[in-house]
Amino acid sequence: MVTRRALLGAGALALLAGCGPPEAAVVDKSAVLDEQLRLTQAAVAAYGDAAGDLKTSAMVRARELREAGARAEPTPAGPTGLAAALAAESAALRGHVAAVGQLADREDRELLARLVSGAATNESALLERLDRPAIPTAFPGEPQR
Amino acid sequence: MKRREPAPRVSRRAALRAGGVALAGAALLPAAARANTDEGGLLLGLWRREMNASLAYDRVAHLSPLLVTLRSQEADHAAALATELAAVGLGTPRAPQWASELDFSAERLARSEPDDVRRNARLLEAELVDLYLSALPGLPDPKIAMTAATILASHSQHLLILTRETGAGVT
Repeated sequence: MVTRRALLGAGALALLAGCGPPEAAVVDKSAVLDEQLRLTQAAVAAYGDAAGDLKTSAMVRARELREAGARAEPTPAGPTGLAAALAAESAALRGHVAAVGQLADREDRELLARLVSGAATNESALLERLDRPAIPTAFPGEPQR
Repeated sequence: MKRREPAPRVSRRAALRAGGVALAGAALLPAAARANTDEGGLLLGLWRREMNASLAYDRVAHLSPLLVTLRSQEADHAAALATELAAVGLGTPRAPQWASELDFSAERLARSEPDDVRRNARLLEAELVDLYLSALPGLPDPKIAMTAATILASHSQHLLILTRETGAGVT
């Protein structure tokens, strides 16, 4: 037989358990890095024959990600040129900033910081070459609202 | 006129004891709380550098519209960091008012001759990029780290533009 007191006690325990800290979301580090490589490869592909110097710096970022263990399928063919590269570099920058919020290990953060800096530099250089304001915001890569 | 109350006297021994308690308290803080303290200190350092940079650009902003934009963006960075500081329960100290209160690079920019402004601005931005590159691994809170990442992106862009303007080399 279950007493009224036991039932109340069980209810209180259940309530307390419900008030505990939320479980931290499990982050798949490999998946996060793979996504960074996918974005960077898309940027490399989007340059096509344009802006070889900027394309090279994007290729260096892709190589660094591969050396960190990231893997990604080859990028499917799509639009190329300065505008396409700008869109791809901006997407990569937003992805890198988001990844900073997902990975907290020193080594990962150091890699992501370099990726953020590199993608941001290319974004600005592409804006400049497209005759657009090169530093339009104080927070490049901020998640889109 | 109301007289100001005399400050309570604190003996040297009492002050030392209070300091010891504070130290012991810090040692007994749980790891998470200590991490918050470290993060707060790091954020405060970043806020100071942004405030200094903003004031330095303010001193030379009359020379070009680019410098006005840079001043405004550094001020936006400082405001964002102040918001993050408030989120970890820390306030911001008095903002600098004079060039003599700035860090070395910001003071050098603030006191620049017109011909040296862009070069000194580039040196300041290069320092800020390095600062954020090294700070990002030390910010455990995801939201704070993402804010710092966008500011790193911004300084990287400032550096590119100033490098181009000074003909100092490739990106």
